[in-house]
Amino acid sequence: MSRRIAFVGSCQVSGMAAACRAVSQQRGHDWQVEAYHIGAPLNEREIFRLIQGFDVVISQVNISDKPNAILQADSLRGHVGQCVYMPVFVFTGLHPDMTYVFIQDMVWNGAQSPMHSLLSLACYLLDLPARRAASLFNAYVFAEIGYFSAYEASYAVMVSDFDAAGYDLRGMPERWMETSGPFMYTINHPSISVLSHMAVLALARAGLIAGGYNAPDGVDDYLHQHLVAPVFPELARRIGFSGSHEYLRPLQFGTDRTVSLLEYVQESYADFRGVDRSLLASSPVVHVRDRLSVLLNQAVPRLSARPALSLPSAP
Amino acid sequence: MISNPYGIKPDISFWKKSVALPAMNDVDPVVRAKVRIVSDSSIATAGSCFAQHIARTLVKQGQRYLIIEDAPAFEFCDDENYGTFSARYGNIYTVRQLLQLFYRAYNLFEPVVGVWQRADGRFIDPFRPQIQSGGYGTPEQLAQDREAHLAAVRLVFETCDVFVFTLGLTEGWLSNEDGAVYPLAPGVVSPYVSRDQYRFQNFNFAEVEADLELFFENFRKVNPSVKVILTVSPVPLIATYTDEHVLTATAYSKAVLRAVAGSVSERHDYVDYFPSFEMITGAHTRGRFYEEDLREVNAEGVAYVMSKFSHHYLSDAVQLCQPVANAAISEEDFRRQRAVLETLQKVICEEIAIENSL
Repeated sequence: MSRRIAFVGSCQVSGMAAACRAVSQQRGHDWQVEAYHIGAPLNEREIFRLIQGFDVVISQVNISDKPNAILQADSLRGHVGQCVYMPVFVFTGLHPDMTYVFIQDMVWNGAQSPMHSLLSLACYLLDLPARRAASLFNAYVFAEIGYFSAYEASYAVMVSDFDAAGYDLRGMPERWMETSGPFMYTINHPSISVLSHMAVLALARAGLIAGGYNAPDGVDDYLHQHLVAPVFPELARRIGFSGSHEYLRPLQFGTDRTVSLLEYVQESYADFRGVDRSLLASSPVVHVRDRLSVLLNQAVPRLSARPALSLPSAP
Repeated sequence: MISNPYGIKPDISFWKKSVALPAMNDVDPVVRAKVRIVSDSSIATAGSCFAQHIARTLVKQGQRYLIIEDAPAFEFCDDENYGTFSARYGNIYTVRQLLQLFYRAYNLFEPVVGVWQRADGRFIDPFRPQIQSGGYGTPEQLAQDREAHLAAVRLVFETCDVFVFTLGLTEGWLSNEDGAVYPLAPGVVSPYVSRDQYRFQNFNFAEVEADLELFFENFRKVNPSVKVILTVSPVPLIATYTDEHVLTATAYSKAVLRAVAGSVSERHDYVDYFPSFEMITGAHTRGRFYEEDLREVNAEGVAYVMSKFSHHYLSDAVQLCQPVANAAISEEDFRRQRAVLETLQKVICEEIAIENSL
């Protein structure tokens, strides 16, 4: 059975397309599968032109995404055979420390990634040395700045978003965790097990495979080549695995990818120094900065004691 | 008709029936245990000297006694005082010390003075001055070991199921610079700390209670399901720095700690008070549970207290008391537990240093 299938949307489309090709191969089909990541490099209009006449288009473009409205499922009707909406998979619960910084409405890219560490940003704005900043990546600080509630909250949001789109992902994070550990590399870079599952769901929605089809194994996990942020042990323990403090640099910087937390904070500080401080103070950063400031101050003033007995001078 | 309201009260409400008449070892002041330690509960201990007895009993009974810092992290560390408590913090006498340990572990409080030098030139940690009898060769070694130690402390706080804390003293020594609390007056162990750098403080009820409440509030943030058992050490002060007689100073100190323990445990369903203090100091003992120095608790006293502790808190104690040789454990587990037990035999007590240094 020959079909032309396109995946359109975020950086996640390559993984879904790769999984789709694996399904095609498994089932002996002759599917022609393309992935179009909007803006990298083609823009929405160029993609729109290229996918004309495709049998199935799986689009991640949300109804509220006005600039890319032309690629929304509704807009594509009549231009392609069939269009299926699949939300972008975002899950902050494993990496609540990650954030984007927007400068003049544009994502500000650091040397290695467009994502940055909230705590590092907050500590930088408080003029704390990098070493001190790294030492504050601990359970008490995480609790105080809300990182521990992120998993449950993120889980609920993810389930609700996919529910609204007609996909039931309840229980899937546990299953992914069981089979391959942390299922996110950053807040919006899922591992291939997630993307494969999403691809299979979309293909089933399009009627190309039966519901309940197993996601293929052995698909190239290309997002792993980009920055991989650790799930900190303090968070990981609460979900049932050990976690780590080590980041993996993007592969393009060399095969020796491991970076310690301290090195990561130091490198982040180097990035921050190149930017006007006021531009770094986004609302989430300010929230963490202010909370941290209170914590740092409250630990010390509590220690000041009432006047007490003075000591006799030494004989 | 006026009825006597005490008529409906049980035997435990009456001194004669529950204290004066029973045999000494049959007096059991634990009415209800709010905390139950099951066999897979991971138990951590901290506090004054007396807390070490609890640790030893837990190990002997095969409970899952949590020891995060169980071996030297660096070559320059002597194999000393590992396993005495769940981390190598030494004795924690005052609640302010415990609270500051928490803040230091989470790097929110970095005391201005981080090292003392002894008369022999070796360096010691002001916050656990007796932990390594040989001291450290350099301040850098000390700092390195302390970093590893505080990481272990964090794990203790975050991974234990039950935290047993023994309140020891109200008298403490504070840095004049930042209020950092030391377990010992600096002058006892270091001739180089000037006397105007630190001061004495006898913490009162309000201060101890506020510190303990704040500690629990913080503790539950990193370990929301932890249960706490509080005890008060029955060991009297070896010396007081107040102008009071050491007997009245001891009574004041213990009264404050006991009252705080009662107040805090009443307020929180996850905190229980275990009355080891009453079991050793109560009139029913006629002082028999103290050694000749009328200060150290003797083996009989410890056994009495710990039998009640096991009975009320360790739900699987009976099965777990089976001889180790019959239990299905690996030789490695056995060796490890043996080593732990041996370590725990060596009670450390900073207070003794006060007398020895005079």
